Amino acid sequence: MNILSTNGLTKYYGAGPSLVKALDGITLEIEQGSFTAIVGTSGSGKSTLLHMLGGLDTPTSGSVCVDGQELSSMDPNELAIFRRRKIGFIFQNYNLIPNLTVCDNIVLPVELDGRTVDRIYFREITDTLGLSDKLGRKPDKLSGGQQQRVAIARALAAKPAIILADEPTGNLDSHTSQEVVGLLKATGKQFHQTIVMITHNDEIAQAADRTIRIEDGRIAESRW
Amino acid sequence: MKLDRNNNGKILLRIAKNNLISRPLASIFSLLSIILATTLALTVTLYLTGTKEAEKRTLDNMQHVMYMNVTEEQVAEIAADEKTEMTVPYKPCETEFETDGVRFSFVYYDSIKEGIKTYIVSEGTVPEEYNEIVVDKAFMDALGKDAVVGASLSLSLNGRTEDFIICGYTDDHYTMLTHPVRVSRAFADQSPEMKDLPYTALVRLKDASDMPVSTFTTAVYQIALDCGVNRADVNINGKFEESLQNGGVSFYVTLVLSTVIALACGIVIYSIFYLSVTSRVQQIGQFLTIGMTQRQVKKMIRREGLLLNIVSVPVSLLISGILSRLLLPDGWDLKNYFLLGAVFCIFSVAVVQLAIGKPASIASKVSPIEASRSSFSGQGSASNRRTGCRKKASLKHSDRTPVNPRRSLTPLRLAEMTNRDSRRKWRFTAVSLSFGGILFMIAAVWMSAWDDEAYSR
Repeated sequence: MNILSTNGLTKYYGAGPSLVKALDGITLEIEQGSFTAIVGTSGSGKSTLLHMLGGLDTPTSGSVCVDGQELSSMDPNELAIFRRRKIGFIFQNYNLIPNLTVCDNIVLPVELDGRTVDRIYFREITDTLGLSDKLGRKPDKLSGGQQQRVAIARALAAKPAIILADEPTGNLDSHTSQEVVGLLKATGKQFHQTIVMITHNDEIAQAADRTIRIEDGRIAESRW
Repeated sequence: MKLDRNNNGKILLRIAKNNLISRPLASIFSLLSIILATTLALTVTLYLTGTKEAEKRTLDNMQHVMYMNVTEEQVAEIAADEKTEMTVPYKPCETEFETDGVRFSFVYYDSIKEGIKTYIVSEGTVPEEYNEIVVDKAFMDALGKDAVVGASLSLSLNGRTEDFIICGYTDDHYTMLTHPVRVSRAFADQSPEMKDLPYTALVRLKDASDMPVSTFTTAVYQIALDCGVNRADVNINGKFEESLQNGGVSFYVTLVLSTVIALACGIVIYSIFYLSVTSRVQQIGQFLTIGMTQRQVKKMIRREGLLLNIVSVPVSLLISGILSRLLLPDGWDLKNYFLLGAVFCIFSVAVVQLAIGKPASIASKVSPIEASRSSFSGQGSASNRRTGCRKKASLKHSDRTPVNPRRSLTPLRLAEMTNRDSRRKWRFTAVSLSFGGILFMIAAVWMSAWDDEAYSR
């Protein structure tokens, strides 16, 4: 079953001679429970595609459908609510809230939604990611790898339909990168998550079930 | 799935609290601004209302009018008039006497504590017999005698000596050159010095405080006409008459002052929050990415303002209460304090929420994508437009020969460049400083310009 699909997705900037085609007709489908890596060179449109998939940006044309919901029909507030319930984000620079503790950062999407945290599930995530003894600390007291684990935990906390990771290993050394990708894969399997990861690192991409290569805003290759 | 549900409450308050704690300097400046503005506005208002209250308390114990050169029968007639609330017969003896180098004069009126306050006997009783008198202890000090109830005192009265019994003392610490000696009704009616003198009726009218000035003066002269008192012998209490006229002036003064102070405070709070929001565009972008809605972002900013009010308002109330009590203890009224305190609480919250409305709106319109791309100063689209213009200009210039020789980077030049690039911040800072200076000068001039004692002299 497909959890995510796009149809003829385009994103253009400017007009006339200065027209920039960040995405030029992307049509793809992502299967539920899969781990997909989107690779490409710098400026190929990877991050733009991720922003479209996560409802952070609006396409020039085309559609994005996540868990049966068409994103183009939603206003900004609906998109925000949709994101916190259905999409988990992991970023290269972690994007943790510096003045909240690790625990508060993890449960933030759930609490923003006014829901009660599933304590058993929360404990399971933090134990799996080795964060149980760090819940009271602030992000600036953690290493890069630990911060990224917190970001993974936050992405998982709301039990989203899909997790979007934008260069999650970009700021980490090779050893920590391998560790983080391994955790991403393991937690994806354990909690039955669909993961879409952007990376420019082919080696990291090999951990994924499927690799999609983007060039000049188009899908150049797709292999399992 | 319902996408319109957007409930939360505690988390926004917690995030707002953490935001304030994580920016201690900005929070302290905001707190100080609110405290200073609220304290200033409330203290000035309490002072103005206190002045009116003190005046009212004094006037509540004074006559509204004096009818001079009246007989005992006229006094009784005035007292019987339905328009009068209280009538006190009063007979002053204008002649001054001297004993052992101390000057004194006789006066007759009853001892009254309320309504028309005359004098209060602190020790002893009021004079009833012909030769009983009440004097102030300062009089006895001046004569070099002990103030003992029942003591006898011989006074020289222009060619004769009269022996008196001091039945009571007042403790008013008189420092006047001529001491008042309060005599009995019998002495006022029978003594050679006072028997031929006319009475003066000290009168309070019923419900006079609620009357318009014209109604009050009409009533006063009507009583005079009814009781056969000459118009020239009617002496209206000017202070009381003035109090009936000036009802609205202090209200407008308070309103204008409070508005100016609110404006100054609002500008300072606006600029602090504007700068705060623009400096955390990335953080707001992170919240929006995670799933905070625009409404929640606005609520978060507004809750920061509310938390500042929760801390600052009680402090302002305490400081302004202490200051106003110290400045004008005679005008202090607890009911006024609580009433005005409540009004200014609401006023302070309203001003702060109004001031942070625009920054909150700006924060909510931050795009998550823009936030991830923006510089730390968070200048957003406006900066991009300017950058775009500069890029176009530089493209045109690229065909020409280089024009500007390299200028050295001094601290002054860097400061000029910063101000040029962030004009809005510069304007806010300048306006805030100007308003602060204006407020300070107003307060300083007001405090030093008015001297009650000098005016009375």
